[in-house]
Amino acid sequence: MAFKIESSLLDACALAILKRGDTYGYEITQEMKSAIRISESTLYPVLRRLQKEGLCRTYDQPYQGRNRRYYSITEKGEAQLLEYRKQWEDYKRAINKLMDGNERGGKND
Amino acid sequence: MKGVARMTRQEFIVTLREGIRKLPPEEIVAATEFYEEYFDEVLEAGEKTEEEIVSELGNPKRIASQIKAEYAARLLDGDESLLGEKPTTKKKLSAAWWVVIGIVSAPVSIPVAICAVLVLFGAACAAVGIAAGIIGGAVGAIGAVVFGVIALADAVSSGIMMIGAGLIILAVMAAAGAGLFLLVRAAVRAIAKAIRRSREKHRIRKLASDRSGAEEWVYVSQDEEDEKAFMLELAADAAEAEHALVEGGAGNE
Repeated sequence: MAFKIESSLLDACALAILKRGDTYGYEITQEMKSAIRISESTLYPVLRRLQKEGLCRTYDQPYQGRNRRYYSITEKGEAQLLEYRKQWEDYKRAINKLMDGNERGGKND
Repeated sequence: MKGVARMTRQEFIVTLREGIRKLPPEEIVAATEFYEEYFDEVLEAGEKTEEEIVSELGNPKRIASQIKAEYAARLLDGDESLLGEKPTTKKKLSAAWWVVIGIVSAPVSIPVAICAVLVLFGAACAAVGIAAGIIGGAVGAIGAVVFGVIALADAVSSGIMMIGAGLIILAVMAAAGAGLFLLVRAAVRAIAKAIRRSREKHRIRKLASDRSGAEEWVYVSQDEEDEKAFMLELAADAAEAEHALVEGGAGNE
């Protein structure tokens, strides 16, 4: 039993992680996995999509003799995240309204 | 995932690249770099072996189709400019050849394909017929010119008239021939382009449809044990119902 998470919600989560500061692929995966059970390979398409839509950008930094690719949220990405947060609140409120478990008033009383 | 448990990092990357080899080089490089870095990071964390990482990542073919699906979805989402136009391969195959290939492999039902082939065949026949007519007219016109030259000796005026008429007809035929050539070329190009585009779109759409279902996400707060218990319960219910049915059936006999 699981609620499928749509790709826009994944985008929102990834943006929220980037909003806390620049970070690299492995760390983003770990952060995602701290909250939702995801397959290791799901993150790459998400990051690629964000990058191509200009919501994040990347830069390389040398680390232990190799490159580490950092992801950084863009202004456009921050605006998008704001919008996602707003919509997430609406979504939560709407579902909670149905899920809160209160008894129905009226004829059952 | 069982099938890839013994794969090395090298094999994983090679298989992944193989799976996405038709994407633009930029995409292949980006995906390769991401996964190479991922291997480096996890290995440096020191908790897992290469083999464990590979089996955790899962089948690279599946990862490849995820990447392709994502790319295709991006194309469909608007970047139509990325669609189709590949000047290098375009010139290698003649337009007519593309038409044949397109018809043979186009994703249309067979009756539609047959109709399309027949219509195109008819059009081609008509074009050949008109071309034959033009050639015939031209030959006739040349004949008239030759005849006029011969006739010059006996009757100058009618000879000149014959030559003039012949030249006029020849000019008209040449113009008609050129017109027909241009028309046929334009038609073949238009058909080839339409078929190529539709095939490309179909391919992309198919790829994009692979994306849904590729992401299986579960909330961590969801207890796996609960899920398992629920499934067992369901299975037990089903077995019970089946049992009851069989019992009921046996009782009626």
